[in-house]
Amino acid sequence: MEYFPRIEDVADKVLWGTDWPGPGVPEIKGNIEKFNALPIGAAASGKILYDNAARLFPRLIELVHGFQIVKHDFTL
Amino acid sequence: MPVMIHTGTSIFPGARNLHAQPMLCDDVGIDYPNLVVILAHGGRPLWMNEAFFLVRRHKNMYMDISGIPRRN
Repeated sequence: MEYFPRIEDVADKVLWGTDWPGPGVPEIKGNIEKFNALPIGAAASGKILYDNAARLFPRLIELVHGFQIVKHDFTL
Repeated sequence: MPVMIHTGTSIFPGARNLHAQPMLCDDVGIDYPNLVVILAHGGRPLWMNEAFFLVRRHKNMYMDISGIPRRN
């Protein structure tokens, strides 16, 4: 929040990530715990943790859940 | 297909940071407005205002919040 105090303004355009196994990221769990401890509303948090990635990577959702729950609506 | 581009400094030995500025992606957003671009690390930690600006400016520009160092 210090870095992105207005992160909720762009909650539709932000993806959570870890950079694991990069330097300073020993494990993924601590990273998501720190994110969940931030004062970010549930709606924005849900977008950052799941919805945005599900929209951008529909095949990934298909692989994880075994079916596609989000339609790919990007045209190039 | 989304394209992820590294932005922000890296301290890996030999890593060069001259071209890690998010603002270099502004032209990408202009020339390819329908291309989904993800600014990895949100320009950590020197250029996070740039990344925030670009995400707001370009319809299909995103950022991730991975690998952001804690601020001491």
